[in-house]
Amino acid sequence: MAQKVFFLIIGDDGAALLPPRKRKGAAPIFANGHTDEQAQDIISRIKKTPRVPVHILVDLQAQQMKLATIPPLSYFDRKKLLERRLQQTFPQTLLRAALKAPNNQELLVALDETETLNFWRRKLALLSNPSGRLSLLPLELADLLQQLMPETKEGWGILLIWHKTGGFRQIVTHKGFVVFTRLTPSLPPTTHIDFATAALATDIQATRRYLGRLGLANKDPLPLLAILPQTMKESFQKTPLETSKALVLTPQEAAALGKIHAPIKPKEENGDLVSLYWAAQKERWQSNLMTPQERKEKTSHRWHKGGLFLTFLILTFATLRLGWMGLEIKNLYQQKYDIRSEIVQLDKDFATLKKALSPTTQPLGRLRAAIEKRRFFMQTQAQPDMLVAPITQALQNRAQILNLLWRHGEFKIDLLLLPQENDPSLKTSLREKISQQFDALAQSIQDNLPDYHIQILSYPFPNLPQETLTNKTAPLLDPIAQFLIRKKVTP
Amino acid sequence: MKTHRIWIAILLTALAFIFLTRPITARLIARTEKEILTLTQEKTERRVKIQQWKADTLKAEELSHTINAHEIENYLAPANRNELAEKLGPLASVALLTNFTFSLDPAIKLKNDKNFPDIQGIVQSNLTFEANVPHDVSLFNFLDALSHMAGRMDVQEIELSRTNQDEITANNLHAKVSLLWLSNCEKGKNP
Repeated sequence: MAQKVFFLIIGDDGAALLPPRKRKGAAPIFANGHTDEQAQDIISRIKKTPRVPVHILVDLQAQQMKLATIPPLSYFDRKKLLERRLQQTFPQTLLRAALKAPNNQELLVALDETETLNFWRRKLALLSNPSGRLSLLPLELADLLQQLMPETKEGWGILLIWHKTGGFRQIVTHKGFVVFTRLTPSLPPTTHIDFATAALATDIQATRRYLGRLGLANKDPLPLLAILPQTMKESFQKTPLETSKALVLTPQEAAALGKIHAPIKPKEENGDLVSLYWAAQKERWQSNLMTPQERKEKTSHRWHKGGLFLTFLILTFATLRLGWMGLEIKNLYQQKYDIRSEIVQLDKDFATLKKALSPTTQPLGRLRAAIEKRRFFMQTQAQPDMLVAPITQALQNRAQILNLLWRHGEFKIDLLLLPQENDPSLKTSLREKISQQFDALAQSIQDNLPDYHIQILSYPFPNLPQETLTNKTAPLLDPIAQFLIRKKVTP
Repeated sequence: MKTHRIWIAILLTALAFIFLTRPITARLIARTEKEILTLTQEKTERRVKIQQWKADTLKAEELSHTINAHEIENYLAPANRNELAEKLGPLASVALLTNFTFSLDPAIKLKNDKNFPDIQGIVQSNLTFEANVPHDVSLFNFLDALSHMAGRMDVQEIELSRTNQDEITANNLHAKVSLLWLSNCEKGKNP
């Protein structure tokens, strides 16, 4: 598994560095003390890779933990209250943090800025490597206990691990959360193993008693996981302990059981590598301790980073928007230009068409007006001369037109009977005979003008139904009758 | 704070750019779209105009076979009242009318003709004349001659009577005729 950062354990007795690795495990580097000379190897290795941050796990004695109950509050109020509690609980310490614990509790942790810690922080500050996280080893190893002893997830549990850099670290968890830690310094190498295990048993007994203050009852089970060297394992297993269960593993066994991908040899005595590799393969650490100034700087850095990211996003958006708008406007202008071009082309086509066709014809309006006027001027009206010829033909020298009145399509004519060869004395003829002659004329005219109605308006003597007939002597008049000729009205 | 100034300035500039350019570009786009709409309408009008012109030209081509240019000139030519008045006397003489007198009333605009609702520029004048005529045929010859004048002569009334009631001979006829002269309006004298 690849690892991109340095992991550094700082204990009271020394420090251990796990360099970044790609696939194969990189050899850890140990420092047996906290002097420039002793730290030289570690600092040189870090210096070689200047862009890689260094995460620090602190296994020093000078670390404090306290459980505090916090009432339910809003996020910001809770944050303010925790700040106050931290200040009240650890007034002398700047490196502190609050971790959420079960049952509305917070684990207030603090790390004293000891000479050892400051030494390493100063050394690292001189390098150009970015600052990494700073956490307490007990906090990050609590879940290792759960991994190796799953029953501790629901109850109490105790992890005992021996670090070359710090000593024997006891980590007590309740329901998977750290509630207490104790560090027993390493014993001199000449110490007899049985004596060492007895001393550890005494420490565990003391821890058990202290846990009574935190709510551990006598009847409550307290399983123990101990990661100790093979040489101490047998002796420790034989030692009577006030724990419900004791599982003792060598570092190599612990790594195998905990699925820690670490090249740990069977003869490995210390748990430093187990802790380093376990912390290295964790996705997220429990805490990150910072001084207020560091926190402020980090917040500022986050703001800066977030702001830059936001600015980048907004700039990208603005650029995309500008491009999109530009494209849209360009398309619109192109569309406008195309339409204008089409109009110009249409005008040109029209001009060409006009040029080609115009000489052959006159404008349609002028043609239509001329045709309409022709129709108007050529409209035939009933004309008297159209009737005179048929009438004259009908008369056949039997009568002569004396007067003629044409008015609004009506024809009034006065006809004078002409003396005939066989009867030259018309004036002396009988009225009946004259009447018959006029009627015959009317019939002849009617025959020639079938579309007209012929009416005799007056005879030379009273002869019409509405006229009075008498036998009184009356002067003889010329044989003249008045005819009315008018167009038959078709229904 | 100093380190934040640059990105805050860039951010504010970008935001200002986004929000300030929005109304400007929106206005520009709206204006261009309006122009495009106007141009599109203009283009459509041109197309319709060209199509109409083509259709009119084809129709004109078709109609031009039914009337020649000379006829068009004649039918659309403005009337000349003085010319008519000058021609009446000689025409009457040719038709053997004697004692010929006439009167041409002022031209008035033609009232609506139901058969020709769209016709334009037509005026009407009453023309009356009296004359002695040797025979009715002479009168009708004269009327026929008048019918060939510009416009249309509608006979309204003819009264043909003997000058001497007792004598029935030729040259004893008197004619009183009333006509309605329908013609184009005189140039520049629209009533």
